[in-house]
Amino acid sequence: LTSPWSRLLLGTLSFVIAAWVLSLVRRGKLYVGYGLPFLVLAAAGAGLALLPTHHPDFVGGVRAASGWLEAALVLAAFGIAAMFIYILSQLTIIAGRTARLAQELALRDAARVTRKAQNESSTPPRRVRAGQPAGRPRS
Amino acid sequence: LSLFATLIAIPAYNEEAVIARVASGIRDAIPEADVLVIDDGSEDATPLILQKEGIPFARQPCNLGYGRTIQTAVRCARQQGYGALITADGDGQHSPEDVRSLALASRDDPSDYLIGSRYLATRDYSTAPVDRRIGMQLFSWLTGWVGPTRVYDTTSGLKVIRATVFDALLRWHFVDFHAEAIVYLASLGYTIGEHSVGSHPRRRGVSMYTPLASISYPVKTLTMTALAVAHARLEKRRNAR
Repeated sequence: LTSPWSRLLLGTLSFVIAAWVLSLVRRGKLYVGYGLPFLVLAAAGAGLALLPTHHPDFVGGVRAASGWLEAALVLAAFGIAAMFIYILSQLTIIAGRTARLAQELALRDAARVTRKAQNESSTPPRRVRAGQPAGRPRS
Repeated sequence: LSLFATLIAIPAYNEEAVIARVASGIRDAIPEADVLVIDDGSEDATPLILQKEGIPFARQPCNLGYGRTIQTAVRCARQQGYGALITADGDGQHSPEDVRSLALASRDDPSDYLIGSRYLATRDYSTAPVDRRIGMQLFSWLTGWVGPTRVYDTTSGLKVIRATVFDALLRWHFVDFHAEAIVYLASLGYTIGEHSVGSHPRRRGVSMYTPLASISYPVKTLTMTALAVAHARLEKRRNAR
């Protein structure tokens, strides 16, 4: 990257993306498996921003671009990344709610089956069944 | 802690070959406690076998993974007011005698989270495959670095979880549960203990650690562990205010 402004922008946006992703993962709003590729990309972006000006030849093409074009490309790339992070975050939130629902259903279903079994049997059950008030621990 | 106030939860996924033997073995070994199998959306005959054998079970409508399944057990234990939850793998890796030994040890051990450790006595990981061995040693070292004492078996499925940590375990979103839970609870100031138990190869079924998982698991778990420590410290600071 040729322009110091492009480097600054790339470095800043990489840091912002990494901090945002880590915050979302910590709060359970982004699955860590979805977040890791963005963390790797952010690290790569930060590395590119800190790269010395003597680039190897394969980066020469990027150097040839003008400063404002680079900045625009960096902004566009991060805009797309942010959009993906937002979509994946919403997906994680929905998955979390579904999992919670599945957990509650499992416990309620167990209680229902147990009640049915209790009704069919004349002897009381020896053990506690999930979600069954009668099965509270004995002291 | 009275064993009468204890729930033994056995998470199971596609364990039709062994689940009945495992669950009834544990039930017979510890008749004072209540046993509940948490079926993690098995696609085989696991729920049918449990129903036929009259073993209490809760069936999750879809596969949620080990961490969520343990949280279902914690939720159940919390809702019903149990004093402690014991978890034991559904694949027969833990003998009923080991489960009983850990349950009895928990009566004298005040740890909030007591692990049935396969490596505490020998500290020899050579029985595990190389990739898992490296992971186990890494996470074991990590527990010693974060908490006051090092835990030698971070991947054991046999553990006693006291009611004191139920709420904390339901607050965090675990990917794998094992090392994450230990480090998270230690960071919150809860006590973690280990009790030596035997090690047995799984009887049947497929391990949840696939070759791909042996690469992705440590990366995900390390990230989640670091975040769990950060979250625990933030939580402690918030509570202190």
